[in-house]
Amino acid sequence: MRWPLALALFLAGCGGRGELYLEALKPLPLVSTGSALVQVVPQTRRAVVVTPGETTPGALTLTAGARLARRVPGTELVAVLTGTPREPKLDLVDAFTGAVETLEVPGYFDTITWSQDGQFGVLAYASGAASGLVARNLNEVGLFSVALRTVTRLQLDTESLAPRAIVFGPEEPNRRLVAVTLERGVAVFDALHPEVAPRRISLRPPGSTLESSVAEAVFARSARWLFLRASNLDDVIVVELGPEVGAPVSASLNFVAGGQGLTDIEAPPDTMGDTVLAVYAASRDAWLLDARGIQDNAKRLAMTTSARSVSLLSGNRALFWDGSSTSLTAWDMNDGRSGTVQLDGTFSLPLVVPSLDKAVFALPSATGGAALSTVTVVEETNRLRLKLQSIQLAQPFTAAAFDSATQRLFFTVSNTATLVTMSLGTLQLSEVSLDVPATGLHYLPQGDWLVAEHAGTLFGDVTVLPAGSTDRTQARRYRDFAFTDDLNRPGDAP
Amino acid sequence: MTTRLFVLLGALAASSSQAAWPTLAASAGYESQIFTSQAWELVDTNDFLPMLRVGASTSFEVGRGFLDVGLSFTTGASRESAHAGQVATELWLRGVELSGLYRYPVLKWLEPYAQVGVGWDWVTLTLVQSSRLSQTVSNVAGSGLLGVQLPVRMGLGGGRLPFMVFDVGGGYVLRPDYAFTAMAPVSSELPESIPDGAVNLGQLPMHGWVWRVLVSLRW
Repeated sequence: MRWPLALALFLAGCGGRGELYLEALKPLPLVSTGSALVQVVPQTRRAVVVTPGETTPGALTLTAGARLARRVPGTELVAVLTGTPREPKLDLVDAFTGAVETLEVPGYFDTITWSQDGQFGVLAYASGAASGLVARNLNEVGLFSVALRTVTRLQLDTESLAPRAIVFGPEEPNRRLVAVTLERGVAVFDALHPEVAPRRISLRPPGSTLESSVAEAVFARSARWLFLRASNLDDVIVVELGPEVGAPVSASLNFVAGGQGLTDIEAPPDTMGDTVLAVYAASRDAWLLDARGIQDNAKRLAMTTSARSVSLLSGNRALFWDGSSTSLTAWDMNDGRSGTVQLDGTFSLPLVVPSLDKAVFALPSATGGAALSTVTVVEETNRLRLKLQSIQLAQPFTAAAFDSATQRLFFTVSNTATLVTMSLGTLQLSEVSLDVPATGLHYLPQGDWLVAEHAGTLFGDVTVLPAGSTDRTQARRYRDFAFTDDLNRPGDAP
Repeated sequence: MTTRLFVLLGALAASSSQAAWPTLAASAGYESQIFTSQAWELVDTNDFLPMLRVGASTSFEVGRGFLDVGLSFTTGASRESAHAGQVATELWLRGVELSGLYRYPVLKWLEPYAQVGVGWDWVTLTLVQSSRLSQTVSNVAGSGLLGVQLPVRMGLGGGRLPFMVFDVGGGYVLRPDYAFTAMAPVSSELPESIPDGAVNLGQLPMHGWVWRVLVSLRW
């Protein structure tokens, strides 16, 4: 009678947990494509795809070590930086077809920046990022061609430490210029000819005492000019780029002066010729500067209050603002007409809709409470009139998404579970009530879906409903989807 | 005290034997199923799922041995914390089984046996510290066991006296993988809340070795 008892005690004492489920889940932020939401969960090695209209999210298997997920603009693809410092990879997830491609990457990069058309991405290091490697050459970048599915290593070979920003030039027949801004200058290469060495343009040539660094770069729409704004410098640095294809692009520098306190630059429409628009806070003016440096061609707009930022509207018009003041100014760069309006309060980053000549400003504490102000530029004979219309909000504005095709703005306000749809053309409002407040919104144009993201859990909590719908019965809530496929991990454990 | 109880039960059984009832048995005991798949680690630190088993059977004499045909019910549960304490998981297994056990008395007090069974199980898996995702999945099960029974006659004298039977056995339980493909929140906060989607947690293998210790009363 003793041996069964001994066997029972032996068996009861056996068994123990492996390490598969000991690790805390730390999903990466949600990424929206045109038709779906994708959440990468590095610990389960899954990309969880939430597709509106489907009851259950799906899961795709990724390479281990996911650390960054970014949508490829204009596509259903999500690029995920994965792998280890010794074997870095890039997983390309197609949220529509469910395909996952894994590419070799020539470095354990930290960031990825896409061209607006989604054809190219530049992988780069971030200075100070913890990678697990003892030494990294931060002057290396990787050029990812989405069409060719190749990642090419490029050596910038500059005196600067690490890239600050990456700016893509306009599409040209035979080349696609890319500017990498660095502390001491900028490097320009051709994405269609990555084998050609980048052109290095230094702002601090040997012997120079200039201590400024590049703060902003903007390509002209013709790709002939690259405009740079540098710290502690009031001049716009104009780089004239040569037409070379298949050889390092030639570059010549010019410093073009305008006002004082340069805070923003913008490339005007083609109709304005070889010019650059510059905003100066200290001298309270904006300048349309001739890129070739011909001072007689420059145009100046004097403003009553300082502006720090500029956005282009339709035609030749531009809108100037400063988030710390209540004043807005519009300017027609062609004929010089302008107009100013005072908002009821200060605001955060506006939504500018050039096609409607309209901008939307969220005012957290306007007179009478929170408000959403829309400003429409109206043509008048001798001036531009800024027509101000305000929407009163019960609480400060929290999140928004925009449908550019039908000009609808979707937004929520804090501490309420209501989702508002506003037609920017007519300012018509409609509301739908969700179960819990939303902290983020995503618009999915394919299928015309709106996704409200809720706070409070790491594991995913979203409500999906037809965009603009006021019928909550059409909505569906997906919760805790980060656990998707958690039981299926053993089969692909390394 | 124990001796008095045995004598009383023996007397009751002896009086009832006059009615020529078939041999009946009632059993209860501890059963442990052993799950060694990695997926099991999400629901339990230990590979063993402790279970309570109760059942009843009747016997038929077949050759020199006996065939016990029985119906049993098993239930067992586990609760575990996973993902560094981010979520607690609860698993509850219930099942009914129809079994046939052939025992062969080698000695008066030693009866080796072989058993096969077929049953239906229900498994409920719940992720507690989330939105309480839960799903109950049911499936067919089959088992095969080998073991020994140690019958001890209760009481003295002739007639049909009951036996206290100690049963130790081990075997294997076959089940299809349990597909927890539609884990959904158990309840929503509001009566007219927005309908919830489900979560596909994946497949949980539920086949494995089993061992048991039962005590039966056979009369």
